[in-house]
Amino acid sequence: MGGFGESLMVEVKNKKIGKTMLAILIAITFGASIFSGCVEEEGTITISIKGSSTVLPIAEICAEEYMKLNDNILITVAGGGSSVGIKSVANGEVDIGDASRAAKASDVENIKGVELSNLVDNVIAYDGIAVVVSPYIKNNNVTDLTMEQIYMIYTGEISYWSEVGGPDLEIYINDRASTSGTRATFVELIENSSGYTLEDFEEDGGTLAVDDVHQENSQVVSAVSLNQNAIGYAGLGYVNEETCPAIKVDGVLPSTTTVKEGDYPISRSLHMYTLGQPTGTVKDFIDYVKSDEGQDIVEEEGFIRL
Amino acid sequence: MLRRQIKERAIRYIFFILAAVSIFIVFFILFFLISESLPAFQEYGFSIFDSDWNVTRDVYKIGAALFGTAIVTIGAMIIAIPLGLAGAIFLSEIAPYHVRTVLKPIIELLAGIPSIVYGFLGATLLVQYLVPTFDLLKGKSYLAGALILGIMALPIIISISDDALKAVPRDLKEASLAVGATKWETIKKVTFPTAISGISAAVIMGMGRAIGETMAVSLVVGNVMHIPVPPFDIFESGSTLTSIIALEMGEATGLQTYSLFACGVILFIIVGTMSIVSNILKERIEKKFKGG
Repeated sequence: MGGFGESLMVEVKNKKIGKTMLAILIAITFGASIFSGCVEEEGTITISIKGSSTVLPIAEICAEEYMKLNDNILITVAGGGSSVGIKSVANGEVDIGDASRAAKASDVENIKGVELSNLVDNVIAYDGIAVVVSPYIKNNNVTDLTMEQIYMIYTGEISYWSEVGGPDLEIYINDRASTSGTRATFVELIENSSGYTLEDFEEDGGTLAVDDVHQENSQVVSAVSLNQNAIGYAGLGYVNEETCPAIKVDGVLPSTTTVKEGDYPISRSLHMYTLGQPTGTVKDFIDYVKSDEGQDIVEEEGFIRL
Repeated sequence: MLRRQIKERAIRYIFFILAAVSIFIVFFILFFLISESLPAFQEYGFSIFDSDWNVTRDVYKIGAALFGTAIVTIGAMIIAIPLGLAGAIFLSEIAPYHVRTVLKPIIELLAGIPSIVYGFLGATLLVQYLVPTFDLLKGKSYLAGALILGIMALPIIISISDDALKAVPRDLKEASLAVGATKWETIKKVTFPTAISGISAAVIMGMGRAIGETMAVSLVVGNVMHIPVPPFDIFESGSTLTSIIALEMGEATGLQTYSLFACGVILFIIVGTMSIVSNILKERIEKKFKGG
């Protein structure tokens, strides 16, 4: 019985402690919210960014870091795709439109008073995707594939390495999860001789003839190194000459240089479009993305720095 | 006396509240799943069970994953039921006492191995082994998924079936033996049929584990969202309801998210129904021997 009394005391004590804690917590929360409220009212500068899902991770992380450096700036970042990004910046809805392709005249034709020339193209990074095969395949005469051959492999029209000059083995096709930005780039850029891309193929109801779908670049690389029949694609940084070598595409080997020069076909530049020359905070933010710090983020996210 | 009553009552309320919280959480999860998946069901209706999943076309119909879950689970059961029941019969009826005391905890330990470990072994050993054995292009297949899940379901089936067989009253077996039936005839005609509802519960729980398992499956099944041609080609790679959620939830947006939640709802319904059915069966066997 005595034990119960004691435990009751403890309970009461705990309750008191709990209440004090709660009071402190409430005070902190209130204090913080009042404080942050003040800052917001005193004229926060807001930058809005929208567009390509490929550029999204770069924009998001750069925005976070930039906001850490600058207290009174609020940057909102949204996806939606390159077309949405270009249209939104052209009609003044957002300050920066992200795009993983160059803007076209057709993007702005429905927007009054805006010409393609009004949009200023700020290239912030490059993106290149290497086509990788197993070392066995590369050592057996498959060192160079054309875009059309890659297209035909992924659509299932070619299913043996012998059809592209290699050994008499079936092709083991590796792909990435459909949410992957790398995959989006790959299907957008791989095309047959008449300019029909893998993306068009999928849009018209086709299904790629893939055997294995991976979540990460690194999983593709490991699958390709483990299976001698394998082909796959991955960001340039994941290529390993010994276990998972890249092959030439249309005669060009992927490298930082060939991607930057635009020689390597499965590559593109990533853009942050502005309406007119960027000024003030928007300019400062774009400069930050292009700075060494921003470019480190670009590289961490698996893209090629300027 | 009064104090004791207060204490009793306090403890009762505390436990009641804890139990109520867990029920509340289950309903909260169910409500959340349904509300998040509703847009997908509204968009597609029953055609959500078609097989067509493509981000480029912005179409997210989950039929292929549902098919994959079905075929992998059936495969796993084909492997696990005969092995599991044989194991359980051996353990409860045939094995000498000292063999049983060693085997039973080891089999139960098998259930405690984290699923990622099964998946890792599956991806590095099983998949690599299947390629040369069946002369395959790829080891990642429904077959690999079924094998891994079959092994993972085994300890559950063995352990619960063993309990069910052990629960069969001794006098029933002895009566059978007394009238001249052999040990095997007794097992076949008396023990096994008597324990059948408990054994069914074991099988259903094993199936539930197979259906809900994620990590191991997503590493060995290939994650391709399609129904192979011919559909029952177990050497083809495919996807399951769990693997597609694991693969795509991280970066999904809009309708895709809703469709992934729809996968979750379907899983919840299937596994929930199974667990209710197995509980009913278990209760039935308990009543049979205790009530009557």
